[in-house]
Amino acid sequence: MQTTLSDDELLRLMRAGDERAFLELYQGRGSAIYRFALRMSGSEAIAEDVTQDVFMTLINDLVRFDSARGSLTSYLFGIARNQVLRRIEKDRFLTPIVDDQSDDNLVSLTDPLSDLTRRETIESVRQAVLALPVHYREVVVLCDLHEMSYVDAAEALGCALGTVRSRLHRARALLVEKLRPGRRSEAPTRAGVIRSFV
Amino acid sequence: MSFMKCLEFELIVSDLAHGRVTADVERQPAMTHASGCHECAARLADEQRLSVGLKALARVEEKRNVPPGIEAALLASFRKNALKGTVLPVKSYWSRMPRWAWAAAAAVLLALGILAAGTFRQEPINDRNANEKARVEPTSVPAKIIVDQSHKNPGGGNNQKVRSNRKPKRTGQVLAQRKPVVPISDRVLIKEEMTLYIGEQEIATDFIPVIFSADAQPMERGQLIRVQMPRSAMLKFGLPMNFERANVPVKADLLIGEDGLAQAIRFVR
Repeated sequence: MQTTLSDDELLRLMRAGDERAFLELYQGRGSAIYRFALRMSGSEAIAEDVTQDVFMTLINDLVRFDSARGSLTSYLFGIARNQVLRRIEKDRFLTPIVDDQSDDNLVSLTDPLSDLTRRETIESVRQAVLALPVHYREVVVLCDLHEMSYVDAAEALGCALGTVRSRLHRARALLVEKLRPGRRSEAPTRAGVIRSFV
Repeated sequence: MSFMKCLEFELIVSDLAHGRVTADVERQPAMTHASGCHECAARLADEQRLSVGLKALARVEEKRNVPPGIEAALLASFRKNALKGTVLPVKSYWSRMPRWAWAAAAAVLLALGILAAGTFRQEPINDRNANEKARVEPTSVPAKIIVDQSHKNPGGGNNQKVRSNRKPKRTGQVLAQRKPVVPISDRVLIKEEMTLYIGEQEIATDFIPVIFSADAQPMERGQLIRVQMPRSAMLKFGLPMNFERANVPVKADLLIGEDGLAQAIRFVR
């Protein structure tokens, strides 16, 4: 059951051991954090681990959050971002088994041909985002896919507002280039994702 | 009305296509410019296509949610922490400590660390003295007897100095201080007896060779290191393992050669 309590109020209750407050915080942000990690890594396993780690950090180090320094959402995204980068770095030598399960979400039975085109388009956008260097990828994921404000994105990434703007501008230009008709988009391999990380 | 140039248009085209420019003051001149400039119009169209693609991707992925198991696991952790009282009040005692107190504590720790480092640095000298006392002649005494000597009379009675350039490779957690040098005549130690009494309280297996080599030379000197290993390591050496105590580590003595490599092992109970 969602309430209208503010983040500060929920955190105060959570500190007092109120599990409903924790659940409300988790249910309000868990999926967003999961999707962020999924979009950044392209791996469900990493996304699940990162989501769990983020909220475990919130449970264990609640005192570290300072509302004067930014919103709770930015704080959680900041933790998620660090965790994702660590995982990508750690798993750089692993070759993932491709999981096609996610594509099931894109299939409908109404118009197979248009669905196929749409599905291919969306998949090519997803792959193009995953192939971006990580500092460009994170701004696209936060600002364009999560529709986060530039200010919040800057807080989550721990950089200046101008940096977010310039990176986003450059990232979008790279995406346009990758997705230009006639240019065969290359599906990023794990090695490609790693290269773009370095 | 001021006319926008291509360079100015380029600066806002991305935000314009992605709906981040809402003010008419900025939007109107940009659209006017795009309607008159073929290149900028194409650039805007590209960005708009990208925006549509990203929005479609975001919409599709909006359905992706965290697997339910994670919520249950987190809730369990939260309850556990709440019971332990680790969900602390806003300001803990430590966070209220002034910075100078932290700095003072760090300085004290640093000083202690330096003192401790100095103490440790003196240990090799003591070790060397002990080793000099433990000088031994190569003998052809069976391993069983030699091991007994190493425990009962660590000082030995021989006068051959032992030097090893390389540090011995350590496996597992070193429990006891390095034992004095032990002369071993037989390079290949055969498991003639499974158990060997090495003290009043300890029972050990015979030494089992770790390295099998056809051109093995008799070992003249070596070092004995007590380590702790996972019990499953016994299986690798063909010894039976008590699976009920699988989680309890087992003690072992590693015989390290002059080259710093482990030569033989025996398990101790």
